[in-house]
Amino acid sequence: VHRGIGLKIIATYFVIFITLILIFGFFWKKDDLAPRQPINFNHQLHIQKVGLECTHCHKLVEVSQFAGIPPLETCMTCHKAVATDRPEIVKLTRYWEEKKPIPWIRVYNLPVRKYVYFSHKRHIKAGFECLNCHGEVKVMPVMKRVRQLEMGWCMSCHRENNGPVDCTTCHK
Amino acid sequence: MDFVENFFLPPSSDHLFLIKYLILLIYFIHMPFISLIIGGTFFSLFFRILAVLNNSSFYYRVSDFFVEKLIFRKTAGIILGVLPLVILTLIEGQVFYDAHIAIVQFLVYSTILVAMGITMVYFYEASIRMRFNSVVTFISGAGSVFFLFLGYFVFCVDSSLILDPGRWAVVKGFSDFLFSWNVVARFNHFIFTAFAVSGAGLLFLTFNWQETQEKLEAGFLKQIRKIAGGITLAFTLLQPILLFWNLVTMPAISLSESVFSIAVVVILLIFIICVHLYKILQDQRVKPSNRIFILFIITLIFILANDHLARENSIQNHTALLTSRALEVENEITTEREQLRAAAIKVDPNLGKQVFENQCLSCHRFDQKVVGPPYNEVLLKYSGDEKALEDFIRKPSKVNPDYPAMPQLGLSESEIKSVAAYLLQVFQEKQ
Repeated sequence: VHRGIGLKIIATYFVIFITLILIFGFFWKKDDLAPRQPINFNHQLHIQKVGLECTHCHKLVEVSQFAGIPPLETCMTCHKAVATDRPEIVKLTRYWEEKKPIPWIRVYNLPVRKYVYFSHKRHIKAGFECLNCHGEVKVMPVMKRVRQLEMGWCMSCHRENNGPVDCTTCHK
Repeated sequence: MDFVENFFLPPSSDHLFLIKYLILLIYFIHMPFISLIIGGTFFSLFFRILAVLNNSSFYYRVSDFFVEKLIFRKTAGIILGVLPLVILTLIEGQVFYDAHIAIVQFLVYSTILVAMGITMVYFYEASIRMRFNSVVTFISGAGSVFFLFLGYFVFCVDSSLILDPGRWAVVKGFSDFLFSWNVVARFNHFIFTAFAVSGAGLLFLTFNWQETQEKLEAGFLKQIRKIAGGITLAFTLLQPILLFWNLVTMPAISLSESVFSIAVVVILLIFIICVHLYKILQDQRVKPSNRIFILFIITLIFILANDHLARENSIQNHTALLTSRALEVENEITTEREQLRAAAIKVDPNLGKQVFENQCLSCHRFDQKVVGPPYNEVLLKYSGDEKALEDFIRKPSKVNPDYPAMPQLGLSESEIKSVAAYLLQVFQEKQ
């Protein structure tokens, strides 16, 4: 009788942990890092093969708080003529003709954006490159978030580079 | 530590692929061995302290027994303990080439500390074997545990840093020493797994080696069985907590479905081990089978593979960058070579004539059949298309069924071009 109880306790204990891991796995969403976008835009292709700079499309990054998702016009300047028969470009053209914005899914979302002020312009002016925070986008066929975007991460970089470490710098 | 950075060359894409598996292999070899050393030394020292406190000869004997069974020869210590870390350092230098991170630096420190630890383990072992003064034994024992723990703490800092590419640019050395929850989780996981493996190892080496059992009296064996089984069960039961803790503290970028699935498999394996251990401790008649140790090694392999998977998830972007750069360099080299080769090919009428006389004349004439067809019949279709003739000479095929196939002549590019030009020129002159 005694032996049976011990085994039951061990079994319960293991079942609890397997459940915990499964629950954790269930709530962890892969899509948060590399969401499936309405159009399969390939950054690697546009940077490496076409030779575009980040600022060619993300025009606002140097002058605004946000880098900005390029408007459809930007895509269509080239894609009125280039690769118009590809399925993804056909999709793009449909959005253009219907005059609807593409419902892109935001990849870099600050966890609590409401409480954090972040400006792209400042960081570019201080001499940082896009890849410092966004990783090597030029080798990403699918855009993926590769940084944690947690406060500790911001702080360690601010300390390392003598950036302001006042609370009010980011929490206005 | 700039010299460390300068020491490495940028890896090629095939090389990176190979390295991935090489690292895993090194872990498989190194970890079980170092687990036995760490556990063996730690528990031997622990029972030695108990022996002094209780003034008991039994604990002395247990302490000696741990060292006797779990600390292998010195050559094993070098080959399985220190050498893998040195190789790992060299390999990581390639993987993190140009990532501007302290990975390699941390590994160098870790290797030095572990090497010191292992050296002291052998001092400890010798002092027990030769019955040195107990102060020497204690100092070397405590020293080895200290250096091994510190060495593997640095190792855990290193592997935790690898998981979070966001910190690579920030952490430049020990001044930015990491002390995150993930480091603590990893270190605990490492040490407690080592303890569990060494307990299982002791059971295995005591009860599955016939000679050992015959040499020792039943009473002592019974005690060893209790101690080793107890240690193994206690630290194995901690595994799910540690595994879960490690998963929760990992950066989101390291996780994937496979990481979770393998973690569940590991917990199932550990459950089987625990049931076995529980039976051994409950019932004296059940013989501790070698299955426990084998299951342990399999579990360890799964744990290491899972950790490696998490690591691959994290460094995916960096590896993609290195691969793309390597491809660029490879393409450059290929283009350069092709240009050089093209530059080296010369069309020379004298060479053409020479080849014609040495090779072609044995089968072909201009106006009569020999072995092959006469030129005035076949060259017509090539006039104005020198390239087609070159292609045919380079790789002849059977065209006319009345003649045997022309053999491949093994000519150089210059010879082919020269002879083709020569033939067409002569053909034109004769027309």
